[in-house]
Amino acid sequence: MNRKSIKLMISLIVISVVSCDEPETVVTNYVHPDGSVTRKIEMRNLENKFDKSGIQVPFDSTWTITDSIEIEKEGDTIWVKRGVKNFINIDEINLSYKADSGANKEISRQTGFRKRFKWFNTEFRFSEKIDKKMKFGYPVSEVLNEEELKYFYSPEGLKHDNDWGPDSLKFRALNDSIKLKTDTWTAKNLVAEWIGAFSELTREKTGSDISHESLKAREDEFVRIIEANHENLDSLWSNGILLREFIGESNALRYKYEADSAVEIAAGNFWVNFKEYSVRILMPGKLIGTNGFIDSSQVLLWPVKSDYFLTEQYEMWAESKISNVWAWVISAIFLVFVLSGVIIRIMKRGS
Amino acid sequence: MFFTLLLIKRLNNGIQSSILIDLKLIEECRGGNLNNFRKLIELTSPFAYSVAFRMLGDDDQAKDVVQEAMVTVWKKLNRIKTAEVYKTWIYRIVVNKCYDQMRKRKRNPEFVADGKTWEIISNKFSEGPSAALENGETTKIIALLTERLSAKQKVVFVLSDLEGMSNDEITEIAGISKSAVKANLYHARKNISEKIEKYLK
Amino acid sequence: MKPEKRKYDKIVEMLRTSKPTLNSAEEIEREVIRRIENTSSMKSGLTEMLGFLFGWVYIGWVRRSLITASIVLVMIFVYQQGMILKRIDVISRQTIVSSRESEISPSNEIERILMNYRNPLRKFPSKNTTISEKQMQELLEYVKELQLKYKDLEDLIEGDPELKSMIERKLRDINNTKSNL
Repeated sequence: MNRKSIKLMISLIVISVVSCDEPETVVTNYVHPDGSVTRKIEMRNLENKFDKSGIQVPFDSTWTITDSIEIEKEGDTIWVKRGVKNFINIDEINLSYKADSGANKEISRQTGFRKRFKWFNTEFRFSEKIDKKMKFGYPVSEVLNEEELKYFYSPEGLKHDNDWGPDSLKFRALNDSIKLKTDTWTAKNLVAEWIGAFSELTREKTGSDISHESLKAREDEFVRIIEANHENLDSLWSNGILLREFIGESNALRYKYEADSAVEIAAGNFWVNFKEYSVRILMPGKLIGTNGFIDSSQVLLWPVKSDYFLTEQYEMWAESKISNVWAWVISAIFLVFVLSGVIIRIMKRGS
Repeated sequence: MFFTLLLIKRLNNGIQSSILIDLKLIEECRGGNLNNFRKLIELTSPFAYSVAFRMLGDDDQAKDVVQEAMVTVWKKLNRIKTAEVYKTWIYRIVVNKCYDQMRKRKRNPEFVADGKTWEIISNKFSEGPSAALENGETTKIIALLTERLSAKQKVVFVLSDLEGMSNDEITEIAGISKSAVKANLYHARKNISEKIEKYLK
Repeated sequence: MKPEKRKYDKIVEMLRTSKPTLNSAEEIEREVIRRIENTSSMKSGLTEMLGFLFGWVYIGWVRRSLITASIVLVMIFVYQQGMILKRIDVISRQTIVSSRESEISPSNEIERILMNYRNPLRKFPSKNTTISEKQMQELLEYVKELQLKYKDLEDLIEGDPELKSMIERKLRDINNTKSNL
């Protein structure tokens, strides 16, 4: 099988879906102790083109917007649009996600905020979750090891530093390995999604030979067939040849409609309309936990790419704490009081 | 000499019998009974005052020392288990407070004896053994005789020769060793004798 | 007995028999009682306050409960702070990315330009590419420079057969390493 071809095919599909003219967007969430969030958006584009339908996050006239132009070192003119809005609570943010009509309206996003009083400290947790698209796909952690996963989720800046740094050979090899594995993973996900969708559509009708379990058992075989025939996939499918290979001639005739519907469902889940962006979070107090990347100004950073939420929920979370000084003072006074009483008792008993 | 010694012994007995305080009275004071404590003050003040006056030669200072001593006793009544302990306590407190005063006074001497005091002594001599001295005269004579004595020597002299205490009692009260008591007493007596010999004809 | 001793004894006896008379015993009594009462009133106020604050010390179950509560409070504090410090330690070991929203900074200008093309998902998709004239000029100049340098190097290698075979051998080794990876 020509892996390179499949890679190219999938990349082109993804690129074409990613489309043109999307600004490079960074969303910064300034989380406040009372649960309100100040969101800042910065969008940079080579053209002065910021269509609402092309913006990656909900953004409208209720934001305080400023426009500017920057000239980069190599002479590029960069159009910059910045917006700030204060959300009273995360419910407001979630409502805006539900009503989103921008570039990423098809994906389901939700923010979460939690405040826990633990006497000496108050702990805060803020998260942004993106629900998975594919129902039957495999988590990427099943195909990549720990080091590869870390690289997979890294922001572009860090990847570039690694690729051009002192261990560049190691990281480029890592990159190649990830590309290979994710190609196979992508194909496997497509097949798994098709099998799942097809099984759901034919649940009450099918016999044991095309039950979900029997199809699942032959999943790797299907992946190999697809990889072997990647160049003529469309024609092979529309002629019914591939389907006959998968489920036999009689079943292929009987369930052609369901099979085609399953392909549409799988493709719909796989080829999501999505434009990448980056998310930053600034938490109140001292940071105590996160799954993001910390930048030099102690702000947390996550890239958001379609691969990340294809087969599993992508959660960006951060936790921080603020010391409750008054609780410390009260506790200290209480301890001193009890200790004094104990000492007085010991002294009186001694005398 | 014999009569002198007998007199001394009798006087000692007298002093001891006057210092006999009932332990029951002390115990009654322990409960915070100020009325009973008044009785204790009444019984203690005379002999405490005597020691203090002989050491300091000043009525107000001696009274002050006695008052402070009684207040101290009140605070520490719980520690007094026997009458002997009480007696020793009182003397010890009085002596210590007088000692402090005498050291202060050494820097600022309040009373200086003069030649007229020898006249008082001569006159009293001629009156005979029953001659009694007033407080003022006592002050002058003691001051004259102990002018050149150190505070410790004076304490030992007063307690031994004037108050009639034994060396053991003085050791307990003054907090010095028996040999120190003997040494200080010897020097005090020698000093006073020489003075008497020189000035009293 | 020596005469001086006799005089001494006489004077001492005189002093001893004339005990100092205490004129105002009641005054001493009054003063002592006054001092004692003053001290007690001060002390009783303090004692009362202490008794009020620390009376619980003498009640068994109260004392035990408060001591237990103190111990539990200290344990909670130690546990909480321990967990937080551990988590902060883990975070401090995480990689720090360069800021400016993960903007990259390649080592030289040309690489920066080329990166724009190499990473279509970052800025420009492969269908629509826009670069400035200045960038284009720079790119062309760089290519021209590279071509000239390559020609010089080629001439040098061709002129020295030993050098040529050494370079060929080195290139073979590098290729083998790459393929192993």
